[in-house]
Amino acid sequence: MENLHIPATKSSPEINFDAQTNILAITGESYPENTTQFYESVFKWLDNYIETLQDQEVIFNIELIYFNSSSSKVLMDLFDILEEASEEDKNIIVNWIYDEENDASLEYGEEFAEDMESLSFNLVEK
Amino acid sequence: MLSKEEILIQEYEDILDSKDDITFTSKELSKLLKAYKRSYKQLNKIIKISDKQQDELKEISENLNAKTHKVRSLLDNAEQGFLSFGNDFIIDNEYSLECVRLLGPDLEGQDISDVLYTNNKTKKQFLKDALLNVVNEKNELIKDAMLSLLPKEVIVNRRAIKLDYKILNNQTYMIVLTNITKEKILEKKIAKEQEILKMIVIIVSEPAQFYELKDDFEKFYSNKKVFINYNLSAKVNLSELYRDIHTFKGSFAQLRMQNCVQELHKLETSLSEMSTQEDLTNQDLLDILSISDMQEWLNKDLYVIKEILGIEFFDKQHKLEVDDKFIFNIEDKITYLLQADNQHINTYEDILNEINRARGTTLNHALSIYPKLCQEIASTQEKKLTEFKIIGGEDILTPIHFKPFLKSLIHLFRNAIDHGVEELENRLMIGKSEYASIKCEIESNKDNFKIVISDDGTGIDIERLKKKALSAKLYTEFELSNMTNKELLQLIFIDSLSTNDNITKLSGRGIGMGAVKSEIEKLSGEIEIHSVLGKGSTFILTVPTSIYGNLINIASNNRDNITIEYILSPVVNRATTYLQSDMKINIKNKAEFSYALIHDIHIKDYCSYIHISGLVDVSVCISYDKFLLDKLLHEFNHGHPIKDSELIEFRESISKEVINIIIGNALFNPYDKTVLEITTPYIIKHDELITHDVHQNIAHVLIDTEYGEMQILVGKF
Repeated sequence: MENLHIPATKSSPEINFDAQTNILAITGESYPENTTQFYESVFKWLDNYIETLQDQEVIFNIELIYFNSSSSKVLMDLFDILEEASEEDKNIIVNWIYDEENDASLEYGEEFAEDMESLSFNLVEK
Repeated sequence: MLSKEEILIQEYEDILDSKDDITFTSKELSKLLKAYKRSYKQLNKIIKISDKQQDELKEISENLNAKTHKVRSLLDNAEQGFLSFGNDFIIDNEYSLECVRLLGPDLEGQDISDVLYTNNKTKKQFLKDALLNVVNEKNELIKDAMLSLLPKEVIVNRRAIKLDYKILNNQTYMIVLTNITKEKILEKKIAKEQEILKMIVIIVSEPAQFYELKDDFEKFYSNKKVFINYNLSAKVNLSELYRDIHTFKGSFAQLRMQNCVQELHKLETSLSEMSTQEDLTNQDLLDILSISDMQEWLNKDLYVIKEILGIEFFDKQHKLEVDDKFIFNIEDKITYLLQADNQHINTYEDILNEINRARGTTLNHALSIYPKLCQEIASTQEKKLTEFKIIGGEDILTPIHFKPFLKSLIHLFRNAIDHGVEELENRLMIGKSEYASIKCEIESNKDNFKIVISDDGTGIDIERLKKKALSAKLYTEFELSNMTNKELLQLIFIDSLSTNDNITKLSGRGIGMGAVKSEIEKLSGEIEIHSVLGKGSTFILTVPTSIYGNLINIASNNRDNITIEYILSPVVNRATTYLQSDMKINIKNKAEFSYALIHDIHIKDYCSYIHISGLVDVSVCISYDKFLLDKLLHEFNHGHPIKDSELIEFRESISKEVINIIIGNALFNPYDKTVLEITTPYIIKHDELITHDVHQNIAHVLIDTEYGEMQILVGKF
């Protein structure tokens, strides 16, 4: 399966999904003009990827300095997908990476982690 | 792509559409409920996160405001103004309070160049162009370098403002404005005080020079009317006047008497403008002299000197003058005793030398002011000069009438530094020592003495001289191409021909070098120039001493010892140069000199004479062959034909004009009219010329030219 790489822009994060190493990363800021459109390809790739998964460990690193409200909706949809996959015994670990100085970012991570039952959701200090 | 929610909504709408009676199965309802729960949860979370984000944002913005406020108040209270502008030079809305104080209110939206240069269009455009270059420059380093070249100081609303430029980012530039008015005023004040102090130091260390100049200048302005010789054309008077003003300016500059220098510079500029006036009259010259309150110019400087040195300084000088005359008398007596008492000849000579040294009348001492002066001139031009001394000349005594010549040498030294010595960077670039070298050596033998002044500067650019001479229409290209280098170098002595295009307070008007030549010619001397482009120039000034053999005697007022040759030699010399250089008449043979009795001399038809009194009491008579006189007439009349009826009248006036020019230039000393008094010229018939004593020898010189002979007679008629 091909990797997915979208370079960062001023308003969208860098997407670096590596199907070989099974390390997926979203890094940067997220407030694209059309959020749904930007993440469409991300979700498409992810759906296909999850289908191919056996029992290998997948690490999903998320490091967002700033994201807008529609991006939080996207994140929640994302975590739902990953939660579902985990319920189906896929081995997925989410690392929410936050800056020591940025209290808010930690709080957002806690918020997202709250309802995850099967998915391992780590809050990782940078 | 449709979201999960949208898909679900679509699904249930389809169910609704497909059923006639709206009943849902418990499975369908539970699915809907689950989806709704999920959405509700998500919505709450989003709101929660969003609220948090807003709180955070608010906090950040409050912090930012507080910080901005702090920075603002810092900047507003700083004694500097800060403003920024974009690539369009339009000032941004953020600027500190000091900017308003310095530049006025409502700066936002104004063009920076309009604000900094409200009235000066040229400077405004310059700033715009320079900023445009900065804006368009991509290379950051070059951009920085260009910023450093922008104007660093402006005057706005009579305040001096220092400008520092910074690049904030690609599109924004900042200027930091500092009010430096106080510093500027202080700087000016200090500079002025320094100048005054220098003036005082020079005057105290060289009082003789100061009093002499003061006296000369006072004599000059109280004799303004006499100064304009109505027998001469306005142009001739103007050039004489110009030279004198220029020399006075130089002398005052030497003593740092700033007010006189400034005023004389202004007068010189006005005179320079007058020289282009076609219909210039002697009255115009008199008019400009009348409105020039030279006494006031001098008084302004004198007032400053009195303030510092006290009125006593001027009284003291009065005594000094008495002392001077006293020494003069002693000298006379010693000279007399010297002739009478052969036994103690060495002692008397020693005493004489001591007195002369004390009076500063040796040539070495007379020139000793120049090394110091050269250093000063060099330092004002940021040039460096090795220390030098006048070498030789301790045994040569200089009589009073040498003074104008010795004074005129200032032009030579000034020119050497101003035009000869290169700018410091240029010297280093071409591998010369940063210290330029100027030398002044005096050599002497029984016939003459030589003052050799040399520099290791850039040399005289003969090609430039040629171009200047050509554009001034002094010579044709053909004439110039036939001239030797030696002849071409002599071009630098022509008034108004300077190779330097910039007129500075020091030189560049091309008048100084002409003054040197005209002064040395009065002493029958000559100047030889050697110059190698890039290597330097050497001026060899040779002054014959045989004519002035009895220098001490002349100076000590012993009239009997002044011989006819004293007058004859400079007159013959001047006549020769006049014919050759001014009138372009070739001289065939060297002048013949003899003594003869009046009735043995065949006097030519066209004859005029002038009487000279004062130190001497003789007359000079100049007569011409008809062809020569007509040639002179032709030159004077610019080749226009003359009616036969007017011919005799014209010949007579030319005859008078020429003798006036020759004698005037050869003997006239504008600084000391008491030495020689010269009458206006008279026409005399050749058979009317008689001597007081038929047995008296008169000096007789014939100058043989291609147009016939000029005859000069000196004796008591």
